[in-house]
Amino acid sequence: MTMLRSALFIARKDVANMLKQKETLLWTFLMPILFFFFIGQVTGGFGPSTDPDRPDPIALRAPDDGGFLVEEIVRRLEDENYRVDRPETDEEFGSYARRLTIPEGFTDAVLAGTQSTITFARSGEGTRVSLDRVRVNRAVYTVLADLAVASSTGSRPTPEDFAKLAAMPRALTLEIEPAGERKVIPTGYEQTIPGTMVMFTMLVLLTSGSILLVIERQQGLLRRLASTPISRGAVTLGKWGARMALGLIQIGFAMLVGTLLFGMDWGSALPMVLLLLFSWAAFNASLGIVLGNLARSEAQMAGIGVMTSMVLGALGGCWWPIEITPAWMQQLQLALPTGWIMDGLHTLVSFGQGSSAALPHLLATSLGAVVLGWIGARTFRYQ
Amino acid sequence: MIELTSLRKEYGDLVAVDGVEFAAQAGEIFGLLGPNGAGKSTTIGCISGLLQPTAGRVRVLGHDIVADAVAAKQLLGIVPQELALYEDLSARENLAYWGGAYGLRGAELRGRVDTVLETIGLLDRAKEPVKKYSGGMKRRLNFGCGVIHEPKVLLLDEPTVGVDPQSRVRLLDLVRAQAESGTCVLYTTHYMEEAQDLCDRLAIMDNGKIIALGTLEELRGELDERDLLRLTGTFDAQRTRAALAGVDEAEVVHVDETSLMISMPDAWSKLPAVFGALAAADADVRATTMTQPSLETLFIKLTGRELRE
Ligand SMILES: Nc1ncnc2c1ncn2[C@@H]1O[C@H](COP(=O)(O)OP(=O)(O)O)[C@@H](O)[C@H]1O
Ligand SMILES: [Mg+2]
Repeated sequence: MTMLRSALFIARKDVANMLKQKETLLWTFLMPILFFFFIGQVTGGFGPSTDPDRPDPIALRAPDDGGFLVEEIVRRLEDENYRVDRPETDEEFGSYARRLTIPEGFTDAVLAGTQSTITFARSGEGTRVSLDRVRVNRAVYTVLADLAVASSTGSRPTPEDFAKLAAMPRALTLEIEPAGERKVIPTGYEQTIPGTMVMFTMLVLLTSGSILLVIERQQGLLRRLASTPISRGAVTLGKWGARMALGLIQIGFAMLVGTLLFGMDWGSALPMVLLLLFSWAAFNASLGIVLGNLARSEAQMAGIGVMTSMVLGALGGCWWPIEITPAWMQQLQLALPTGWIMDGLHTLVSFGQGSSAALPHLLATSLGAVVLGWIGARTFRYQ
Repeated sequence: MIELTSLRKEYGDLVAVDGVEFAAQAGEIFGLLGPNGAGKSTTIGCISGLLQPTAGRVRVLGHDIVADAVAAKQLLGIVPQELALYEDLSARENLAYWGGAYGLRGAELRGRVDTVLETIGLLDRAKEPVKKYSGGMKRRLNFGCGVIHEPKVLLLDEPTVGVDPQSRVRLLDLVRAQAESGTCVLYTTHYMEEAQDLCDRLAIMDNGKIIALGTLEELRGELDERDLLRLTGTFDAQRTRAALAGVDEAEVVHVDETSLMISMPDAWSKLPAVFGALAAADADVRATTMTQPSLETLFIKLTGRELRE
């Protein structure tokens, strides 16, 4: 009881101390909101792919003998929110930013098992371009997946087979072939708000949070604290709790602003989203203590804090949707704590999966928080 | 009030505190005098519970600082050698913080903060952040934070280092006031004058050991009213010693190529004899100072070194 009371005392004073720093206020409250806005705007507000009222134009050049699979591809492209145009002239075709060419005798060739190549051309560069590549790929692969299902009966697939497949519940396709899973890659605010929030929580706790600890040690404040009746355990618990609280304040504020100002939709599994973010605050509170114990100077701590959160933020998918990066980066993401959280949030918020889908993410982050917390308590030093 | 038995603290091969023993009573100012590196701060660290002693015990009103830490620490107040204050917080907030750390809350805490602010003379600037204070004001606040919870035993580790003379006088008055109100004060310093002026009893410390302990009078008695003669120049150690052996009651405390220290009663009247002997030993004397018995001469007599090296 006295231990908790003392820990609470330390935590309260620590939070007040951290919030007294202008830098902390700046990075906790102001910068994330600016990032929401600017990065979110640059990457397309609420997603080019998710605005059904304004589908993206794509030019299609398909031969007359293309066959029914061409129509299937068109249908999938429309599912991906493209408006498929068939320009008459080469000149007109060339004026489109997205151009898809299907070779002659496409359906016959595919059904006969010979290779045929669909060409997708996209002018320009940037996130949107990579995104287009992913969306078009997905459209084509889902056709191929359905084709595989349809041919599994042994007979030659017909347009009717596809119609039947399309009428089936999507869950079935999901089980048969992963390519059937419909993911809309989050872009714009939907990517930026969680990404920025995750990265800035880490940034603030690994800079402001840890630096305060380093300063307190350098200035002999911790040494003085050691001579008070407050036990070492209560001191560490209090320090951890203060950082946890700051993290939660920041997350709460970001979610509130994200929702009220940017109309962010946190999906249907909100409790799990909150749990995930809670574990994220805990993880960084623990990591902040560990690093604060290791650092020798304020400047060193600032360097470590900024580097760690920037690098982990970038590799973990806070800056851009990890789904558009090469496979190795997506693999790497899952080895990083920022990646656990971002992947978990995407799963819940953008891909609309149930709470249980993010259970591994929650467990990994919580376990990390506990292990780091234990290390932080063991390595805590007064001087 | 406070009792140290065979206290020992080692850092690897270095023995920073080596069998220190003393006890100090309520209302007493007990001084720990010694040069830098003598082990004063380490001793204070062990008493305050910051450092784990290698061996020996510290008891505060019977409570062992290791085994019964919470009770012992509650009775202790500490004024550390380096300022330990939150620079961005005000005097009032700093006092409230350290008071809170000792369990004070609410009206009791507010009352104590006001009293201490008044005592340390910071009431009118209590709301300003500490970083705007002068060095002397910070020192007084540093002191105030150590007494906010009315400790029974107050530890002060060289609180006047780097303090201007005026602030020093104020600070020493504060220390005396604490002792008068019944607190047991343990005061470390390497300023001999300060120890002489302030302390009721003293332990002289060097190389981790206590080399003399007693009241000022008792310690002065150990000097047998001897004066200390310090000479600089060029000396041949052996010949100098031999020559001075002929001078009545002269005791060579230290001699090397460039300096010589002699302890002797009534040195003034024996100066001609000393110079005569030195001339005979071909010594070349460039400067001479004579010091009457004091803690400093006692320290030199005991260690052969100056206190402020
Ligand atoms: N943390 C430490 N590690 C190693 N040696 C130390 C440490 N702290 C103090 N010492 C050594 O212990 C001795 C006593 O130091 P200290 O107690 O600070 O002396 P004082 O306060 O009398 O100047 C010195 O030789 C010092 O170098
Ligand atoms: Mg010291």
